[in-house]
Amino acid sequence: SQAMKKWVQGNSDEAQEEMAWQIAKMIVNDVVHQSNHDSPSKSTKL
Amino acid sequence: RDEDLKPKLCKLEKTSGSYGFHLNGIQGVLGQHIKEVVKGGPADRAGLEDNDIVVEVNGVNVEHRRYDEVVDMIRRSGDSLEMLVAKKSVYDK
Repeated sequence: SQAMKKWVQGNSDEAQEEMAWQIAKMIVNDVVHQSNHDSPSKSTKL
Repeated sequence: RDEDLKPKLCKLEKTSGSYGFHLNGIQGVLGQHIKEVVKGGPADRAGLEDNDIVVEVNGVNVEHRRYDEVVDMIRRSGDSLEMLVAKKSVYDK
């Protein structure tokens, strides 16, 4: 919403920064999520 | 056959430092199962089979234990091990 307001008031650097920040967060979250779900099975030789 | 419907109590003795099976678990899913039983190895001779579900280790119920805990219990067991297992089809009943 902060980003949206700034978009409406004119395309400021701040608004672009805010948008870039949001997207960066989304990407990092996706990566974390993905790596947590990799190799869900474990095997140990006994 | 009747005996297929019962859990199996298996006694294993380590041979050249190994019981001859893998313990598998799936992250976030309860229960551990047997995999890669080495033919002719201790696990094989004791009657363990692939996909058997581990119910008890040395008389301790492990159905709700974490994977790491169960691996640890087996490792700490020394050179012999007693496991109660059930075939998946039996366990699910």
